Amino acid sequence: MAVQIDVLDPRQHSEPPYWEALRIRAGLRADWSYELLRIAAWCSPVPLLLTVLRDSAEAVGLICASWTGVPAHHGKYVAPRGRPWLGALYVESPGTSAVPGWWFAERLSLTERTELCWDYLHGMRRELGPRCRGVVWRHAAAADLPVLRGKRRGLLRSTSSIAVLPLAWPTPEQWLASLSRSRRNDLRRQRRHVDADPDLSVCVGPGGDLDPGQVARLLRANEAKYADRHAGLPITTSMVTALLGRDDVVTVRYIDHAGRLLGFGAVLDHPTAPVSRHWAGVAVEHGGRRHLYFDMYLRVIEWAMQTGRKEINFGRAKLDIKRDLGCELQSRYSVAVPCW
Amino acid sequence: MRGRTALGLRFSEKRWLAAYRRVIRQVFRTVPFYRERWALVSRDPVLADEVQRRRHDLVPLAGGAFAVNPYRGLGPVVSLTGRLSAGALLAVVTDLPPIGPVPGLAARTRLRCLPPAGFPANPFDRRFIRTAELISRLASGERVAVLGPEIELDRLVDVASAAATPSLLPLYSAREQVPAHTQPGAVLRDWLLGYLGAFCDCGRWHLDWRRVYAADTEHGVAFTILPQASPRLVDVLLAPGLRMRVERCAEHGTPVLAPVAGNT
Repeated sequence: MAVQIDVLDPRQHSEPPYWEALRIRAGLRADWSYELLRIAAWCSPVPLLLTVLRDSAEAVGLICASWTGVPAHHGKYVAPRGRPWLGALYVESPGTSAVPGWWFAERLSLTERTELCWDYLHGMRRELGPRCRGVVWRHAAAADLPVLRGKRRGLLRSTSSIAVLPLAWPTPEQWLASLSRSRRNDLRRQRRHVDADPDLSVCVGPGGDLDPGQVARLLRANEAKYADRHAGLPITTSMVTALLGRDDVVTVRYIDHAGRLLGFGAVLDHPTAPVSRHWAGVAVEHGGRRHLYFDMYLRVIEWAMQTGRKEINFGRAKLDIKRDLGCELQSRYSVAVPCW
Repeated sequence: MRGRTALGLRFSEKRWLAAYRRVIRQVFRTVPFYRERWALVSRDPVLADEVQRRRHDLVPLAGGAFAVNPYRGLGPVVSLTGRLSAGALLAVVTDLPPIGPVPGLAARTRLRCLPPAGFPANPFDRRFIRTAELISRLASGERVAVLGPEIELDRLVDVASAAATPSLLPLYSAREQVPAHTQPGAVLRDWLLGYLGAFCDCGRWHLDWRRVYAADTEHGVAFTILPQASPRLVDVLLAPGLRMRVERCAEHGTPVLAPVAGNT
């Protein structure tokens, strides 16, 4: 297989005509839309590079990587022509750490995928020069490891697991019945509490009518609570605007009758496996409501069952809670492959 | 253009522009609003209303104040008027006292807030001064300057005796009609950008150019606050249709705002 490599920097390159069709074919979610990639690239601390691997005219691979290295410019956006003196490509999904940042065509065998990873490593080395010293494949499943490690084997490190809820139950009630009694009773009580609040309206659906500034403020306040663990830059209003304007992003919002957004959740939709991406709620001491976090899980699971999804990916945080909700914890790994 | 001015300031067009460009580079790397807008939307100046709506995005990534300081630039702009000598009392007609010290005021200047008509001052708040106390201080020969809207100053002059009138610094809003000519000592302010400049004895609106950069654009004059760390205010159009242009003062060589035909 003679592979050709196209490297795109969304800050400088306009959207290729085939991009949207390729994104849908690859089953990639809204965060891979070129509009969102462009915003992510401009509002990132390091350069974001997209690579399309093509076998003659057909795209057989798609990889998104952050070119990270030294010097690190903490708390700053990447300079217009900025690139590290020495660094590595961190391959990760642009919008969420719950899914990997690469796609290979289904028709490829394991050997061909391994070759593709090798071609990517060397292609990027040629493209970026000796400043690029390797590739770190992040959030890889155990099944991906032989493909990613390749001939050089690479360095392997276990990272935080992800929680995936297989929707094996036909109704939310049957799913609730499968949980432990205390968790089930808690969830039902919390739902009653939210439903009984006369000053609260709950809506699940597209978020085009929400004020992006209000949502961005809420999400940032939530990020600030985890500032020690959250090393990235804050979500931008334009990113929120673009997300809310999409049909394949489903929101769960809790709004009081004065119009104040008290809780907000967003799901990156997918025909079979949506990803629950964002959650933020106003603290109770600042006028927020109790139990919205757990209620959000119920609403998302109900929505996913009603729309025939096969599973929901709830990401990496608060794994104990997610296990109590019936999620499977799937191991994830980072693989660093050096390049000399 | 360089020149030693009667204002005691040394102005260089090149340095002024360089300071503005430094701010541009900084905010593009560190302030979400300008990053998004300039990279993804447009490099055009932005309307003050839009800036106000997106105030949470004007704080640099490293953090900083969210609220606009309504006293920003007061000291240097009042100094520009030349109406406030060291040790004088400056009364600002406002119901919003300063939270902390106001930098840039002449040595030993005491700052007090004079509540506007209809607003009762808190008698226990030492940041406020009442009209009666102000008049008695004037009568005792104290040097007093009062900064406020013309209507409030007129009201004060009516109750003060002719022998004891304070220095008057009329306040104009930069979003409204800016007169081409007014009495020297008048001050130009915007509630978002702060104090911008003063009407000097040469008969022109002088910008506080050390702190404020202004440039003519096709949409009007765009203002940039140079030293303010947060929130960052860059290329702000105060009001659409506000017709002014930036010129050089023939007498002092420093930047002045000249209202163009249409403003009286």
